[in-house]
Amino acid sequence: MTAPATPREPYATLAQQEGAARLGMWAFLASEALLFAALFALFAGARAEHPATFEEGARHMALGLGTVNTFVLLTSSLVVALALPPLGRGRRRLAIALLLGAIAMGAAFLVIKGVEYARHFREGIYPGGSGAFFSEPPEHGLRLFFTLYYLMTGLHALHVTGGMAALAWAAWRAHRGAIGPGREHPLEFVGLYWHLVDVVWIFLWPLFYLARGG
Amino acid sequence: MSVRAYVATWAALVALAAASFGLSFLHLGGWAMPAAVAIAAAKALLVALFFMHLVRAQASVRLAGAAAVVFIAILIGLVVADVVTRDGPALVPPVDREG
Repeated sequence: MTAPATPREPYATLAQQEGAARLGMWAFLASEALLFAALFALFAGARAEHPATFEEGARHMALGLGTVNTFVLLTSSLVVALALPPLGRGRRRLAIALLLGAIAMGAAFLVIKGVEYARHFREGIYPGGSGAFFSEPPEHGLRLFFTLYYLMTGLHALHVTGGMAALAWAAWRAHRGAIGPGREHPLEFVGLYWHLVDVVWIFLWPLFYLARGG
Repeated sequence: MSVRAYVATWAALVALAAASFGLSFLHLGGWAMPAAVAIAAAKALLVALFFMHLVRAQASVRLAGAAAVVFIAILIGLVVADVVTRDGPALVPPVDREG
């Protein structure tokens, strides 16, 4: 029902065509990883210059909310991974339900992130080091910490949103029968993107929330 | 991969996160950051190997994944080496001008 008839040129077999698509997807993921890596490098350099101040910044973070968000994303990756086998066995409704569950977890992540941002705003911590929190005297390291926080978690949140849209697309295509037994790789690739978004948060969480100086 | 394998991977991820969380309350001094990053790297490896199927993927895909890690390590490593070996600050705050 869902498997296409013949491979496109220049591929000799469908497996070869799918393998090429998979490599292309991984090349894209590697480029996304390097995008975040540039920001992590900036963070590493800034932290090397202001170790004590960065730890102080981490103590102003909502540790509980950030930790809950870590659990939410890890579980959402599990749910996305679990959606692939039933899709391959033709259990379309189960696969779609799991994808919708993952989307809901992504939404929960964004809501919690919004709550955190609102809390920072109330304390006078705004992007760019502006706000009443930084007034006297303006500690450069602290401004760097929170600017990087907004930049990196903001970019990550955009990726979570994009990932939710991609998951919704995959759920729709599965519903239409365009993704299913014999042609599962579009869902697999969307899943790869979601897992990368999870990996980025796996590094964001300890750097911004856990490195508090003990 | 089986459902059990996926759930086991998730359980290991949650356990590592809990360990990282617990460690953050201890006074590890200079070891706190390396420990946190090492645990995060282990979690990332689990996600890549099992959720992202690298454990059974074609060779070219594994090469792409490994290449990304190598280049990220070079990027971050050289940036930090640059910054810590300078005499003055690398990231200079904006100068307050009069008027």
